[in-house]
Amino acid sequence: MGIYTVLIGINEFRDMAKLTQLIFEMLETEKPRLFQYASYRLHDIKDVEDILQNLYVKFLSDPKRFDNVSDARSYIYRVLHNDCCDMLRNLSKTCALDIESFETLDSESMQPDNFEEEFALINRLLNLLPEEQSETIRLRLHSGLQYQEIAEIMDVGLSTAKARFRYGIEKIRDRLKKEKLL
Amino acid sequence: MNDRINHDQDYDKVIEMLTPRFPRKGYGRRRRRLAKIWTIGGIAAMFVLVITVAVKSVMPASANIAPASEIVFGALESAENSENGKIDFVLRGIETDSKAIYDPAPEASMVNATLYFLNKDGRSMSRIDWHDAEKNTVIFDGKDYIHLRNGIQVKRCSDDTGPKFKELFGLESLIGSFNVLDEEISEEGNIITVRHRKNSITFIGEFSRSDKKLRSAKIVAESPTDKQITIVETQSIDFNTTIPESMFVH
Repeated sequence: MGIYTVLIGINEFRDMAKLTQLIFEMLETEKPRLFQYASYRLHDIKDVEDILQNLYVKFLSDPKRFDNVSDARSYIYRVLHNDCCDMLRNLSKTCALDIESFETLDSESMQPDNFEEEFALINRLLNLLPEEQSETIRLRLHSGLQYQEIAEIMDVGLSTAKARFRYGIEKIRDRLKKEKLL
Repeated sequence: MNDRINHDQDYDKVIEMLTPRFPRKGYGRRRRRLAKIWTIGGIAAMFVLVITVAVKSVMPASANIAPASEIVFGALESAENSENGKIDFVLRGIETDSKAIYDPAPEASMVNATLYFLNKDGRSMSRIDWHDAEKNTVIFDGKDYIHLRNGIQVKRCSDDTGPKFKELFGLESLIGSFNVLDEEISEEGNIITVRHRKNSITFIGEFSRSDKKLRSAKIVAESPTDKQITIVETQSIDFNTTIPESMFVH
């Protein structure tokens, strides 16, 4: 082992600290949207906090994950998306998410005044859709991602991502019109 | 035509309906916090990493917490809950233009320094006094970075990404997914020692069993002749001392 090994070790260590700092700052910038996305995906605040905590841990403790990543932001959401899917899969073994059915919607609940009411409304509407459409809408409207980023996260083409979003919105629109809620 | 326009308007209304307007409250209410990496040079990052590495290596893989892990947990918890603290340390470093003033270098001499931190009214302040000939001091007052030499300000700039020492020590959550290459936990008398080796660098954390405190942290590099070179080492860690706010004002 030469002096260079020692120097490389120290440089690697310092580079890792710098990279960790950059990743942390990126996560902090995205935090409100990551939180919003996870909130609408998982519902329970404890699950949301757990999954975000684990996300930070995952990235900060292994910054080299980003070595071959071209779009760091998409990558973060892809990992969060996958983690949420895994958690939901595990949760479904024990309990289903408690979402009120669409039928209970009335004109009053269409005008939410606070987070809880809005949360209930959005979830009831998204619950009308197949998973791939509701997830596309969440990524677009709750995380503010571009269609190209969504396509990468969901492993589909750009046109498919756009179509899923459009079909989802149209389906909700048509249902609301049918119920005379729009 | 009108139908088409109405259709489009309804489409937009649905998008608006599905776009959250009210933020959810509650994020960060729980005690577990994220590790904030200090931006003043690599010195604090070293403390973060040395403690992280030391602690992560003793985290239990299962719910059965080993006795040594309990001590480490307790030590980190008391560190995390402290509002202020003082750490005396030595660094084998050379003077550079980095914000920390000194950067680690294996061939350099040891420099003594003291690190202070204070969390007050939501502000995180910190200061390093380098006990060198020029009496270099760096202060982060929660808003600005200030460099003093012999008590005279030589640099001041805005820096809003400063240290959050209270969060810095909330590192227990960083355990588990870290890539542990080689580690060793040993106990002798009252002291629990955790060693984590990565290439030629070894991170060592010492915890006291009796009072469940982090006693010391250090980083050691291995020289070409297998000699152990200490790069940074804490001399004392005190989370109970009073740190006046005036120390961070200039």
